[in-house]
Amino acid sequence: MVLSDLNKKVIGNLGKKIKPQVKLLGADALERLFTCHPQAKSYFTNFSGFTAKDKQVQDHGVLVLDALVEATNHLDNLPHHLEDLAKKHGTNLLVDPHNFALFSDCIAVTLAAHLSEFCPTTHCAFDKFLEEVIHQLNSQYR
Amino acid sequence: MVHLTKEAIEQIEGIWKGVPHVDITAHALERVFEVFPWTTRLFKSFHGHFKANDNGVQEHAKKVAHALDLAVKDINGINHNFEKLSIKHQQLGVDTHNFKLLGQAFLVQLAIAYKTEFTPQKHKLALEFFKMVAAGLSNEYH
Repeated sequence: MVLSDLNKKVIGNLGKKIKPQVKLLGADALERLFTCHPQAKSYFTNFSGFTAKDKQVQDHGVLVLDALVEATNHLDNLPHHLEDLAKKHGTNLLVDPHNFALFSDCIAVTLAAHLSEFCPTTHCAFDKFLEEVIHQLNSQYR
Repeated sequence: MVHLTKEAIEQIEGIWKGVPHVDITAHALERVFEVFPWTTRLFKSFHGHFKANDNGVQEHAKKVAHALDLAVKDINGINHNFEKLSIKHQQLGVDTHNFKLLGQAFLVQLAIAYKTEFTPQKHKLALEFFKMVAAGLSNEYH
């Protein structure tokens, strides 16, 4: 997966827009994931609620989006940057990789709903970036 | 196949009614062509003109929007009503996965149109609708 210079510029800008709103956007994306794809709740049997208002959802949303925003600062070095997270997902969390693609789609809808702009060029760069992040997260499962 | 309740159908009708049909379809097509460029495979006759306002996209948007109008009017009858369309799409050689990709493009366009009014609950219903459309278009493939 090759990110073009334009892709990298767009992704960097997107990271800057997402950063101040990680709590709002993270919770929104997770609520969409849990509502649209209830099987994703399987990994959160300890959660007492699955809406954006629930603290556990908000905290997890911050965790995930903070990691994504940080990854936008390491676009030239994603495999190395994501190595520890990949090990964690592959040996400990064991989330079925199919869920990452579903979550990526939900994040795209969250961004479209909340940001002032999510044109096809931005969406394409974002989708490519998530695809690469997902590819890295999947890399230590087997 | 999911059989939708009367209430769910009314909500989907409301979501579709609140947006300009051909316009949103043309923008969904522009988005799917840019974000997932392999979907342009069978549109070589557009000669690289894949923007919403380009003639080819506009003409195709009218056809797709009309089909979606019919789908919305009889949601639980989609498989039956799309029988001939499904056969036609297989004859054209359309990969059924493309229908899901266009569905995701539509969800993003709906989020842009409705912003945060496109709640997780409405998102889920819209997703269900586009899944049913995709299933209906795929149903006669063999």
